[in-house]
Amino acid sequence: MSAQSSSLLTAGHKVLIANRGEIACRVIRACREMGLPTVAVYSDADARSAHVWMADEAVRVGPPPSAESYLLGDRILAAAAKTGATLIHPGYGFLSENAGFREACDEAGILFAGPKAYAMRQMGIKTLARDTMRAAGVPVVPGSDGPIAGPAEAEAFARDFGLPVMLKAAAGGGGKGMRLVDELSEVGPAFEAAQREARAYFGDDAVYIEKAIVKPRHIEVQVLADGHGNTIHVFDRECSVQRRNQKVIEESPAPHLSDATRQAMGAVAVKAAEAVDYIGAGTIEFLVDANEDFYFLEMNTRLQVEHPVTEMVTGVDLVVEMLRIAMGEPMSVSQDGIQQRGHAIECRVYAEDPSRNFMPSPGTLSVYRPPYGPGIRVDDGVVEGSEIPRFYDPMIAKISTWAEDRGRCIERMKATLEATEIGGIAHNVPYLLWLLEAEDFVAGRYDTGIIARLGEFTDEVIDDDLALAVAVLLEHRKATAGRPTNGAGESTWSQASRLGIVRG
Amino acid sequence: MTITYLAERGDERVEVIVASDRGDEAIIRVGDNEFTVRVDALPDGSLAVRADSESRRFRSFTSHDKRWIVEGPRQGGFAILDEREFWLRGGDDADGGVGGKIVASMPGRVVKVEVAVGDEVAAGDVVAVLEAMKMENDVKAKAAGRVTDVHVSAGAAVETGELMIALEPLA
Repeated sequence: MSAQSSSLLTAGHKVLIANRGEIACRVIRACREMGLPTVAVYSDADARSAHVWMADEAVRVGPPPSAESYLLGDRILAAAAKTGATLIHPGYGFLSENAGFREACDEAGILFAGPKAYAMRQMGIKTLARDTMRAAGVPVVPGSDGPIAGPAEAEAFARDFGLPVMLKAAAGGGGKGMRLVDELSEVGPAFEAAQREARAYFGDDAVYIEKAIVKPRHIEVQVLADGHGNTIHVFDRECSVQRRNQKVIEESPAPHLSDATRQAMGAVAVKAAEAVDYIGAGTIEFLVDANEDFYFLEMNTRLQVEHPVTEMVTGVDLVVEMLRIAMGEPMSVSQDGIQQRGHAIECRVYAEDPSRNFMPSPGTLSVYRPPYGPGIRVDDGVVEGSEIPRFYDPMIAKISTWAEDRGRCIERMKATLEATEIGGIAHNVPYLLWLLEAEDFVAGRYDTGIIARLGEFTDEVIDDDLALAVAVLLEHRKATAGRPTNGAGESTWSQASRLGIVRG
Repeated sequence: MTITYLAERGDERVEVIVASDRGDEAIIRVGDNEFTVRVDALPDGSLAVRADSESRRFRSFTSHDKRWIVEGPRQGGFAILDEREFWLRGGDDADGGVGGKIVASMPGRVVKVEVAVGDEVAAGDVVAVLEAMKMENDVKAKAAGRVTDVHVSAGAAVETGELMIALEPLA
């Protein structure tokens, strides 16, 4: 950390990162650049994780389950008090959209890199968000006015409203607690499943119903607001490549989106943020249909997993801006000063097994050599030998590439993933490579159904005869180590000499 | 002296013969395929492999009784025993033959068990639900059978490979 990089702005501040994994590491790196000291928090499962040793200080907050560690606001605030942290960056997930925690920070006199509790509540309760947006003149998807009481009521509503419908956790996000239903008989069971997931993930089992838009694209707009009267959009991200409502590949700019629609979405996103007095970095998600009509889906009142693609095409460091804004400064960028340059794609590398229905695959990352090179960005929180704990999201890393245009960006991504060495646990990189080859993806003409339409992926394993021959040879050499080698029976000295290891 | 190894590759068992190993070069036969292989350890721990006209780069490690080969983003594991050891361990009978053991394929928590002792199941039937990383996953029977033992109950934590349910073949 250089003394020069500490400015009046950051003087006296210390940042606690209330998160783990790659996003904690991402925020710590930004703090380093700004000359801000950092505090990590960790559960017992993360005692040896990268974010812990990257930070200047680290505080244990509890046992492995997130409900007993990362989700305990009191523990996080106690860690802040203990270390004298003045600002909390929540990352994404965990407490990042928890209005109660935001208020507790306010009461404790600790700054928070995110919006006020009011904006979180307005946007966090999806049913309330829809009402607020409707009132602000932002187009929303038609659906139930509020949460649905039970499975029978859900079925009755769906019968009157018409299928297909989308069941959604009111407190949800990130695809959890969501179900697409196109059969009436499935509504009840799907409702209960969504409720169970919502309760487990968000501690709130309210579920509502929306009309399912046919073949929608999921395009979102990044916004930044600084509380000094500046609210801007930082352009769009295309996030339609989803598996079970989980984003897999994101890109910016959204391909084949007319400039008129792009500008209109940006303006609406700013209007949406202003409607809730938003402060910080946030994302307005839209569903876009074939006619480029777009509907407000939800607002994520936090930093988004896929923020790197926005940073790569605009040059804006969203985390740095979030920290500046949290410290009460105006943002350092302006709407007129931002443009999208080139194209960026992000691939999410998950510890899950594509050949076994994407079952989570925690364990030891025995081989991990991330790629590097021009136009390549890796956001990770692991090193070779790291344990991927079974308690949290199975994301290993985010690999992003940038190039002058989309075609070259895809080629660069493929070469980059091919050069990524990773093993020891099952992961989805061969699957990502397969997706990048899909005709619709290459053409840039796709919607959220792209993965479902692609058919069966067959995992590509190393099982050819030469690989097997080498595996056996390595086992053979391990078994015979110390004994004279077979055949020649020469000593290790003569062997070394012959191999040119011993010279002169 | 040649040494014969038995390797499991997916569902198949392959005989692999190390015909000679002079340290720099080895001659290895996999079925009808004979390779003259040279393996050089590079400073970063990877292995430069040359065999006849092919040139590849692997990384390798052992885990769960398997030798793993990693090449870029792809990997494969082989269970390898020398022939003598294989027979000393009881040969084919050592596997239990029937394939009637249902084991946990990942560490996690048992959400529910769908079968009881005496139940008949068909291949593909869901016998239990396992949760890890907030995701529920069905545990399915690989073959038809009758449940002879249930070793886990809802709420239990299991490790990879842990025996959950035992089946016997239907008469």
